[in-house]
Amino acid sequence: MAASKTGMKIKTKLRFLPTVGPISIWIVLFVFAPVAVIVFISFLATGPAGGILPKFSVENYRFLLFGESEYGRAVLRSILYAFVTNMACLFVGFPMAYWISKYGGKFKALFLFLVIVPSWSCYIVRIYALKQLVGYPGILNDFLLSIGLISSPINILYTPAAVVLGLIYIWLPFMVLPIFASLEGINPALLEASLDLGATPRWQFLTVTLPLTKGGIFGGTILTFIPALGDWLVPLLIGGNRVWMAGNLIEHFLVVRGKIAMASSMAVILTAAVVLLIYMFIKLGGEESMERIV
Amino acid sequence: MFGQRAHIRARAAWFVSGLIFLLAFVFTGNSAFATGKVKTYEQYVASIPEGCQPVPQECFEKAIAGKTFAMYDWAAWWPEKLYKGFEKEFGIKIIRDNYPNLDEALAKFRLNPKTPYDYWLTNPKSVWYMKKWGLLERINHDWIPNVNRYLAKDMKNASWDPGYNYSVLTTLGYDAYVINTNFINKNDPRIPSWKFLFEGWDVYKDRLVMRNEMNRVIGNTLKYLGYSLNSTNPKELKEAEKALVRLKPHIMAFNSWPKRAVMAGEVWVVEGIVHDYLTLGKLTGPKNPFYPCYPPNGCLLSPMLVVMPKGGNNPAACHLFLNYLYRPNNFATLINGVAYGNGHTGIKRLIKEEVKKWMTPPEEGYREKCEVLLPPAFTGEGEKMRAAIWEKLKK
Repeated sequence: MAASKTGMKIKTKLRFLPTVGPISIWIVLFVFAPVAVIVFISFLATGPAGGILPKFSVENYRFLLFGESEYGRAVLRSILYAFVTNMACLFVGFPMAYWISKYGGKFKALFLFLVIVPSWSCYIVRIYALKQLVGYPGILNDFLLSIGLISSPINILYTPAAVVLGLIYIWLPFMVLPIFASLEGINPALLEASLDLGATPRWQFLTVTLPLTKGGIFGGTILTFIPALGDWLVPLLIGGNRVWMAGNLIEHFLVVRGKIAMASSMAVILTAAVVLLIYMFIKLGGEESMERIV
Repeated sequence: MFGQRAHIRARAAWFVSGLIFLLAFVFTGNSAFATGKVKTYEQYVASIPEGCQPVPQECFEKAIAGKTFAMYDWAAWWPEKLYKGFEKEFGIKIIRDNYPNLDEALAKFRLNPKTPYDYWLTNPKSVWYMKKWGLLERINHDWIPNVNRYLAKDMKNASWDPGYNYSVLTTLGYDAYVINTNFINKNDPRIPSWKFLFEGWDVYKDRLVMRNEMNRVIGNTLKYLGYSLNSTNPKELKEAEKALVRLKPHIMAFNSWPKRAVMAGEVWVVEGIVHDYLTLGKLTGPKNPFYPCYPPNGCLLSPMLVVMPKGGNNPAACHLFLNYLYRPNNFATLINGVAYGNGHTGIKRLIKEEVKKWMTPPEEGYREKCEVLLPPAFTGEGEKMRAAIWEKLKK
């Protein structure tokens, strides 16, 4: 009897193998293994010509975390830019998602399509499109100059503000979609009940809609905050490489200085910061609401 | 029912035959190319242009037997005609891979030393590192008679490759600055000195782009201050740091090839290899608005060198290509296309007049005032101090 039960259990497990198996192998090979390699290299010593020495060392971490350098500042700046991006995406994305959900009617799909469609183009193409828009000569400056609102072009590109603007532009759809999904998941009866009980529209929004979309907000936060934190192309192309984020620092170590172990340590520090922040988000956002949105 | 089946079968037959054709095309690609204009060594020797010499038979046969030639170089720089001409003449298929910058290319070899390239167009820094790691094949000088004949003597045992064992010079770039004369008057008394670049922001109104390359930017800053660009003197480097920090608010961006911004008139002054702006100027209209500025006290000299990484499968093809490249007609095609300085002694009469103006500074003996980046700048304390300046500049 026991043997047949065990056999059944194995059979049930094997049933999932064709579906779960390949993706598990994929994740192990292309997610866990590379991360393990990076962590391993980060604890190796750096040779005099920049190469890796097969010797255990925590010197890279000591140098990056406690050495006299600008590295900590670059990480903090990345966190700040990612935070500002995130907040801006939230303040723009929530009303957008709310409007589509509530007033989109039969055009909901079309509006969502318009939100998603820029993401279909290549990341670099989108960055260059933004450059054409806000640069000089560019559509915005040319327009403002032609109507006489400004007498000389505004320098938007190649500033820290431009970096944040670029990050918002790139990652906004990833905030709108989860919020839209959570708004769509709200039971209309709950909204009606709140009105029946005398809630004003504002009170209804604050006490019913907003708490029920918490999962979407935190989901969107994770989807925008993490890539914004590790981004290096936006500071490079839109920020003119004048100010570094953590990603640029990793590139500087790996490519320019050829310090592979140091670049790995920096990547591990950044990943650790992201994991910690996600943990905090989940704890704050509530695991249940996160699961719902996932 | 029967008709439907037949229709499906016919479609399947078309699909299968299409697939077979595609596979045949892919897998026979190499052999299709293996029929060059020159089939035997005798034919090759007979076809050599006047004033040129053939490679030895051993080199020729090994190169042809290798069938392919793996190159690692810049994209969209040298005239395509050169590569196509080589393929057509010898029937060797060129497999080209391109890098976005030389530091990234060097990082590739650092991570994977046996990367299988037969040819790598690179700079003195990479030659130094690759030599140190033992990753370069020695050049067989007996296999490149045209290089031996035409390459200037002082370029054969130069500071970037003492002993002349591992690299062959192709082009020499002058890394100074260029102004856009649509916005800037070239008669400004500070032009062409470094003073204009480092102090002329009242004129260029912060529309300056500097290269995004640590050693080059700091090197030229040292040059502006009157020091050697390979200096390791902390006091001199501190001065360079101060000059760059003072300049930073007036730097629009750090970009090594700001093609779009320069063409759009967004940038008025650009620090970089001056020759590149002749080709760019041609694209902007009938009148080239760019003007090359060669600071009187010299600038950074950037030699582009061909080396053979150890992982390559067909080093003979690299020799064959170098010998082909150094034929005066081919080398003139290269220089007329890129307008760079060089060490070829047999192409003067083949160079276009406008290219002559851009390929070398107007002043006789200017090259002697220029410097190449050498190990003191990119290794040890010199590298550490430069990295600290660069990191401060990007904060």
